[in-house]
Amino acid sequence: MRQTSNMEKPSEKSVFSMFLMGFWKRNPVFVLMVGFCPLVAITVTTANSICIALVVSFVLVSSGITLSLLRKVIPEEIKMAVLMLVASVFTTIAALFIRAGFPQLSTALGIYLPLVVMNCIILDRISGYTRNDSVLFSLLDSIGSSAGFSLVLVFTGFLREITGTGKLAEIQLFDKPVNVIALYPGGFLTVGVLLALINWFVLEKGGKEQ
Amino acid sequence: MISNQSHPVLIFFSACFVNNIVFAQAIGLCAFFNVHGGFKASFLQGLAIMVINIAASIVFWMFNAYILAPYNIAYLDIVSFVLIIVLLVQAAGLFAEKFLPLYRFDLFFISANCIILASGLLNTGYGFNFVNSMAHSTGIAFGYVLAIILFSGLREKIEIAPVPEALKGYPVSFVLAGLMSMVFLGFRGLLGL
Repeated sequence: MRQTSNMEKPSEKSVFSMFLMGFWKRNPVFVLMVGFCPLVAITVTTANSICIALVVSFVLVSSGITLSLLRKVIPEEIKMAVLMLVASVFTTIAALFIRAGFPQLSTALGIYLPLVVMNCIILDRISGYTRNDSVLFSLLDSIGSSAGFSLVLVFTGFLREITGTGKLAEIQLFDKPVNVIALYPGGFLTVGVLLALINWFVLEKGGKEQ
Repeated sequence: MISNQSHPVLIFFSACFVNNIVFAQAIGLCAFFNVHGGFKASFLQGLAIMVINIAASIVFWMFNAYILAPYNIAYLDIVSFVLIIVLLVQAAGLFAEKFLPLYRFDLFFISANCIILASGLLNTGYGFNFVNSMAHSTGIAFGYVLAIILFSGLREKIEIAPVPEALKGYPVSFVLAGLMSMVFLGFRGLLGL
């Protein structure tokens, strides 16, 4: 059950409601159904998830601000090219920074680090900012969206690290972990189960309100 | 592991089955899960991505060999590859509008597709020559088409199956994709790849 009715802009523009809009009501993973590539591939450990969440947040917030400042000078015909160009510049900055500062993290993230630019969350959100009318809105909405996405990423990483490797931050918690959870099938299964739980929660709540 | 010394057929096989882009590397999932409609819609989307992927790989290789590598500006690969993808997808959209007006392609999910960028970056990462990078990109594209055709069959079965209310739609697709991904794990280690 997807809440597509919540897609319109908030009528009362209080700061907190704008943040909450991106964070929960329009959560990138559970409602918009985008951004699965890092969610399935990277969330093997909590540290990797935190790193990719920081990269996605950095790219989303900085390109959101840049594009909403530039929204009056971008012609409609080349909008998509400008969006992707701005996002790719910020992704390059983040990728070079991580490659220089944290080499082993860069190896662990591999191809998924430059692929942040093609993340549908970023393109979906920032293509709206060129239409919108205030920089504050894009700032709050991008912070909310990236916080919502980061929460899901870090939670999935936490679950998969505990069940898949039996460790948490290099401390062995139990023997005989379910190894398949740490591989790609486990990523798909964990995300599926999480989505089902959220659906079940929404359905239960809807049933009680009636 | 594949390298530039491997045979192109082996590289193709590795990219198509052993390291299948969707089930063994989890790249391009947005387009993969957001295709609505039956077999025909899935097949057309796969075909569009295949054509653009192969065309883009030729441009990527030439751009990398004649501009990025000689002038020592390899750090600009993400920016330049993204621009090439956008231009190619816009051109393909105009072409499709003119010659195939009946089919509505979702250009957002094609231009925002990780697969095309990933194949370009992987080719330059492995340091492939032209033949090998063509084999690799074609393998990736065929792997995507294979995955989306297999999955559209499963999706048609799921539509008439009694699925619990909470699992309907995306969650059951993810569980199915997990099972398919386990199937593709079986290719691992085949022919020493």
